[in-house]
Amino acid sequence: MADYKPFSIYDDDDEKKKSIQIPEEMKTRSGDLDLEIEDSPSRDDEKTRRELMNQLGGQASHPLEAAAEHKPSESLEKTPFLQGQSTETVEERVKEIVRRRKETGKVRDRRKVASIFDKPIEPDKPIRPGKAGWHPLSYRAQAFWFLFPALAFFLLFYLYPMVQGFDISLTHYSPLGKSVSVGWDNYNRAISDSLFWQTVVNAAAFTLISLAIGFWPPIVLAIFLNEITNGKGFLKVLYLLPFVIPAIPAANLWKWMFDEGFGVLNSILQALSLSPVGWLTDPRWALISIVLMFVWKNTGWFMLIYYASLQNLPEELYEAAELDGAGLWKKVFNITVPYLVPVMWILSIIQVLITFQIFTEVYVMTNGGPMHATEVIGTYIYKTAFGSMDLGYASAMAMLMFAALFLFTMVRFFQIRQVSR
Amino acid sequence: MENLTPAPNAGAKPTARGVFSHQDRKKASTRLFLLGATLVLILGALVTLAPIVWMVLGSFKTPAEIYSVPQTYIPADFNTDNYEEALRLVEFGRYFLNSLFICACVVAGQLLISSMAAYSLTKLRVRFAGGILLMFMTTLMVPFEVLIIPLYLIMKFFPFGPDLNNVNLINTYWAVILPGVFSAFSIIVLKDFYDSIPNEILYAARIDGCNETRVFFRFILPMTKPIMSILAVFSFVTTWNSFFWPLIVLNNPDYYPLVLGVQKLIDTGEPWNVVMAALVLSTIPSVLLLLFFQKTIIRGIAYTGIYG
Repeated sequence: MADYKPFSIYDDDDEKKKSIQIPEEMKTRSGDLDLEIEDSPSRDDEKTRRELMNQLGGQASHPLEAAAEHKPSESLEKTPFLQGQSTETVEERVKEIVRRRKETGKVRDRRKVASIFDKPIEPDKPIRPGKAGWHPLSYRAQAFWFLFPALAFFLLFYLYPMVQGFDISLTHYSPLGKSVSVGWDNYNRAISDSLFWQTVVNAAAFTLISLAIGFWPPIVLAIFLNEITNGKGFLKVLYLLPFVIPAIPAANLWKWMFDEGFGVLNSILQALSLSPVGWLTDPRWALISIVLMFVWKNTGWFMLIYYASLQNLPEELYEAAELDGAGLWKKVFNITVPYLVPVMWILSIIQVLITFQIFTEVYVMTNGGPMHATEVIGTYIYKTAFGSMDLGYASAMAMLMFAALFLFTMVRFFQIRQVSR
Repeated sequence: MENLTPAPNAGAKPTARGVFSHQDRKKASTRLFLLGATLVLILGALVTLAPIVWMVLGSFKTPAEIYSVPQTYIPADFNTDNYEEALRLVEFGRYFLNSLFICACVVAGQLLISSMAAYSLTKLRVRFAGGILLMFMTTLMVPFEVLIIPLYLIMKFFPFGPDLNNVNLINTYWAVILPGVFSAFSIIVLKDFYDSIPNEILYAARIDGCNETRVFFRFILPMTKPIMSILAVFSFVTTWNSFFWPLIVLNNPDYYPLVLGVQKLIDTGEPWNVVMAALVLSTIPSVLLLLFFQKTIIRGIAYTGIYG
């Protein structure tokens, strides 16, 4: 019976027994988390040690050993092994072997490591979440990574261009490097530019005419479509056709139909023995012609929106009105139309925004038109920026346009916010 | 727990009652009125359709017919010479594939990015979610004219080229695809939709051991198929029809999308009968799209109409 005392097989154990340096972020307010490595060896450690002892000592195996596995340290004290060898050297040799094995990765350090859960729970203190540093793989960061692509595209293709656009509008931009900062000159120039004001007037006229021509037809058609029983789907598709086809074919088609010499509209007028109209060549008519095309393209779309809104009209309203003896017109003008008023507002605002931003139709049909009668802000900016390469002035005009539209866009913005609440 | 998949609420009721009650509908006067309504609708449809019919008719006319002063309304002979000429002049196949590629990239990127962002904003409770959403919504206020000039410059000197040098993206597909990928509109629509998904489904999935990526791809995306198809069709149509931005950044005919290619053909001053044939050819994909996806498009207009 040797006076064998269990020893750790890890040679750096003594150092680790000293109190552990706790990293900053794990420290609590009181800052006194004292953790030690527990020195009771695990069963795996015990196994490793005994194997090694067997190899070194030669006669360490003992019949009781298997039974005694539950209390290894006790059994080891009783085990008569390692006679004739000093404990010191065996310990040294075991540690040496373990060290070598650790280096080759055959043995893992299985000692219990410090854990924050070792801290005794103090019931009267509230548990606070630790202030961990930002880590790219944490839960919070995961939410961020999901947002990241959209945020990156937003910053790169919306926010940065906007700031940049304002920056350019303050310079006299030249594409070959040297742009000179000119302060608010571009804005002053725009304000004193009669052509710029012409575009504003044209856009306003465009909006007013398109509202005058195209405001009621979709509503009337939607109410009619809601009444009839057969062929609804077919009619819906037919009405949507102009909305879906691209603006290029549509605008070119109308350009040909508006043609002064060979257009079908003048042909019809002549058949009715009326004098032909220079639809796109007469400054008085050019804007109206484009509005006609615009109304043709959008009526079906607007009609479907009104129609969808009518689907949600509660029928109790009609029933109550009928009980009160309301006739057809009363029902239409006191129930149906008031029900559509919010949608009317939304679509009017949309129409203002669309008509102010119209470009393709005007570019194709008149490109600013006879004597700038159909010049809109889009075509003017396009000509200024990419025709005469005056990017600074074009940016300033775009910014002014933004400001002019701001009121409408704010209304629109709050509409959408209300919807998405 | 019968049906957890939320559906777009608009158009949920199949048929709403009209102004006329069921008793009224049996009256002769109502029938007359309904007949009148049908006639008005058919008249409107004819007016809507007439220009398109005119285009198709024009595409079959000979130059002599199309340039006759009292217009010949019906071509004497439906021959396809104009189409052959148009196909000879324009590389329709190439332009069509260009358009298709651009649209596919934009739609795929936009849907993925928007749904991820919406998921993060609603269900993962990313920090400053409200502020970020507000910021995204403000982009709806910015007219495109404000962006074109700086965007053009960004594309010309794109700062993320190889070795972080500037690279010129003008005349590449990237110039058209990249600015179209972010869409605040899709994010807002999806965000509204995600808000209606009960959190318990996600909790259940997480307890079963799904990480967020898996929850997103296995639960959220399949659940939002209806709204995703709507958004896909709409962004496809928007991208397919877009003309202003490609006109600015693409000068090389190899990269023209369909509408730009057709417009460039028209700008060369071809006779109008050939132009009409080209217009018909460029219209066909959109018409087919409408026919195949009419339910989605109509539902989408009902659902997203309020957003505009």
